[in-house]
Amino acid sequence: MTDFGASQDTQQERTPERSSGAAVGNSASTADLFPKLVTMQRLCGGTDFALLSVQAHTLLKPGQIECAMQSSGSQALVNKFILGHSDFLLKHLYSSPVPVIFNPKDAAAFAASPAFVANTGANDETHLAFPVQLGTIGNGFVLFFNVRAVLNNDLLIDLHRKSLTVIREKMRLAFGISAGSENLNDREIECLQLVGNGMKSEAIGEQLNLSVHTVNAYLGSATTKLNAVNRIQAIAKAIRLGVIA
Amino acid sequence: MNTRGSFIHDLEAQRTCGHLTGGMELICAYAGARSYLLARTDLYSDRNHDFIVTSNWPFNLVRRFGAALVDCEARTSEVRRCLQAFEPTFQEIDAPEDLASDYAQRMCLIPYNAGQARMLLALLFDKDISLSHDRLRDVALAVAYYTSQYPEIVSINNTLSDLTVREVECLSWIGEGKTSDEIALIIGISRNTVNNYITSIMNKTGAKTRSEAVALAVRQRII
Repeated sequence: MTDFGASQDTQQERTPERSSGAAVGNSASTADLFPKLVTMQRLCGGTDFALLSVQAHTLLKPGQIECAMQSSGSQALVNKFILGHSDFLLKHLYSSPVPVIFNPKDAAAFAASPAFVANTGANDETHLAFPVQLGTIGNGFVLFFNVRAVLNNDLLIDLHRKSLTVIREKMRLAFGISAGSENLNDREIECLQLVGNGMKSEAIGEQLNLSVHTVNAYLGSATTKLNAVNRIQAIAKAIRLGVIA
Repeated sequence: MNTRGSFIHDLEAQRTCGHLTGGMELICAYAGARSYLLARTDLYSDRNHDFIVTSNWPFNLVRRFGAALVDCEARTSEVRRCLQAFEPTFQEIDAPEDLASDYAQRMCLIPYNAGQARMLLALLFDKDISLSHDRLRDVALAVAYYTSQYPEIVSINNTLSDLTVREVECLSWIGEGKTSDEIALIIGISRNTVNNYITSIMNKTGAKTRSEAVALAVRQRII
């Protein structure tokens, strides 16, 4: 424990300065996440941490990794890591929820661990990556660099749980203001859902005991409220916003 | 080694045996639960029960509120669903007459994501049992680790993967609210070609309308 005590102390000194910097650009409470990350870093005996936010990839555009938060002075380290491992990180996030251990000192110890072991080079330091995939939004990784603590399943699941909390908090801050779709009424949502299921207005009218004109009127008003140009775009927007399934 | 560490260890050992239920029983025991129901919320349909992956709930319960639960989960707004992922919540069971008297009236719901799959674990407890919220949070991650190792659980049958690049391009413009004429102008091909692409998309996806094809593509995160 003692040999990395020094780096922790400097970390602690730097943190307030760093978090006030974050407070300027973002919500003041994002700064509250820093102490949490520092505590986690201390638990695993790492020298630096980073919180990456990941944009999902679609067939048309590739996924994107951005560093949302990091310990101060770690820019070079984090950028190099993202550059080197972005493909792997993106692939892992959308295929598996298990933590990743880069270059563990004692690989045999992880035979009975759910963690995924990745080796990048014989003399590389040990890093930890905790994937968090909350859904369409709120996806990312919490990373710890140059980890020196003895890793076991208990510590890994503890850190992973804390990683979930941090990213969830961050998402709550970012999406605190609800989207403009909240004012859609039940009938409009119902009609949109049925159109998305492939039904025509006539069939929807029959199912809901409405005239076809009423159905079209609901769809029209939903389209206006979603600021879409036609009902097809309204469907796409509504699904992305999570108004319909 | 404490109990949490050894629980994860045992679960990992169970995986190599290849029996899904063995691990689910371990998870159940660690949570202090009596029975489990594991479902795919993203595969939910009211026509059949394929979305239920595995369960040792009494069958009448599965029939009665299994579907309703998953349906409710599938309908919550995306932002809320993301905030609830991996977080255990409790729900009262509203049909006590169907429940054997030795079951607790509250069940625990844990929504989680594993790979591309959206899952829901629902646990039933014995009456008068003291629950550990701490353990249930461990369970959220443990069950995700465990089930993600079974490709047959978390795989998605991607009906849209055989679309061509041009078809996806057309579909994404339709999703932006463009008409065939506008798409023809944007991509620089004739209107009939655009319509041919769209017909081919609807044939491949089995969608009855353009709206349904766009809805499918957005759900599967293709556009």
